[in-house]
Amino acid sequence: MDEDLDLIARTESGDRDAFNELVRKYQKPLYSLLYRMVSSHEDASDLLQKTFLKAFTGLGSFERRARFKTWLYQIAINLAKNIYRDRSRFEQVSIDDVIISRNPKTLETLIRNETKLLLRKSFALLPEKQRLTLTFRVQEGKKFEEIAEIMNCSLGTAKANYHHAVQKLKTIMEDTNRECNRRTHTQRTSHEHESF
Amino acid sequence: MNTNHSDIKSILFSYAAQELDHKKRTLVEHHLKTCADCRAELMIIRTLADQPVPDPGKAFWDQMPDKIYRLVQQQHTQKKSFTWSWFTERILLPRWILATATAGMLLIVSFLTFQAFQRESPDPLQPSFLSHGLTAVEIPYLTELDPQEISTINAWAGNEFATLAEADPLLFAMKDADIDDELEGLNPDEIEMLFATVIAWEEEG
Repeated sequence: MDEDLDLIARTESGDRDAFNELVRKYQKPLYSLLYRMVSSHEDASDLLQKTFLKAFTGLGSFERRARFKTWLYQIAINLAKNIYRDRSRFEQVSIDDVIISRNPKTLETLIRNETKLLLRKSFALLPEKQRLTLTFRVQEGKKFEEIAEIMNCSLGTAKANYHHAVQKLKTIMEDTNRECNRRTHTQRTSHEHESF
Repeated sequence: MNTNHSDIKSILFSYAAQELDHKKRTLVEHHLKTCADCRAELMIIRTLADQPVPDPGKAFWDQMPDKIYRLVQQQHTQKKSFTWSWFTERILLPRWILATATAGMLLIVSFLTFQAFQRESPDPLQPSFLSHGLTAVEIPYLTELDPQEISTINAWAGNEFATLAEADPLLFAMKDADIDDELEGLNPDEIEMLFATVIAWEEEG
């Protein structure tokens, strides 16, 4: 944090090298977060530039109490929110579209793949705070303390958001598995009848 | 060793990220054999974490600092010109109107100032009603005057009467007379006549 404050002070006094160093330090993690939110390189790149632009033109409003990284993440999330909402369209992937193979192993693989696909799409439809918490925890590898700081909530709330998000996705998986098992059983039964 | 379900859940992510030591890893794997809930959560973690972010390439990263620096400089320049142009477009334009209005204001102020200087300042020895251009018929009665005005008349009359006394000692034999007493002794009509006479003499020069 002290290093960042030093870089910020030098940037404010016109040090171009300090400016470049701050950008290089945070461009990749910010891009990674933004890409996971908007799933598009063009949008992620555009948002990355806007995030840095807003941060550097508003350095005067940065309160040195929080970390610079946290502040950057907050700006990025706020900018990405609108684009993310427009892009969150759930494409129905019904289990009916899954091609059921007679090979149990292939079937199992297919079901697993389809479950993953459904899971990812369901993830995109989670409430914003739950989705962000899951992104930070699972995809960015952040600890709950850091997540709470970025999202400006308590540690308990961050953990609760994570828990609720996981529970929702588990429910979807269970429903999907139940349906797959039902179809698999139906197919096997009809196959046995044909054998006779 | 007891493995608490909550404890295992709290380290599931670290297990998925392969950050646990051998001992903790064994504990988690043992727990997973009997807990469907934790197995489901592990699958969720692995599925979501398995979404790679495509690398846009070295050129993208190398160019980013310069790109952002140019944007920041542009923003600063736009802000300065925005502030001035906002002001000029809304307050000053059209400029010829402002110039005309300013010139008009200056003329008005000059005229009023000139007018103020042109007003005659009252002769301290002259009664105020005379400086207002009152004619003889408008001369107020003594009873209408305040002590200040009477004192002024007194002083003025003393000067005037002294002059008249020099011109016509018989008419105004008041060398040793007390002007105040003489004035107070006159009735309003007499004073009126007196002032009318004085004014007429003044006009004759």
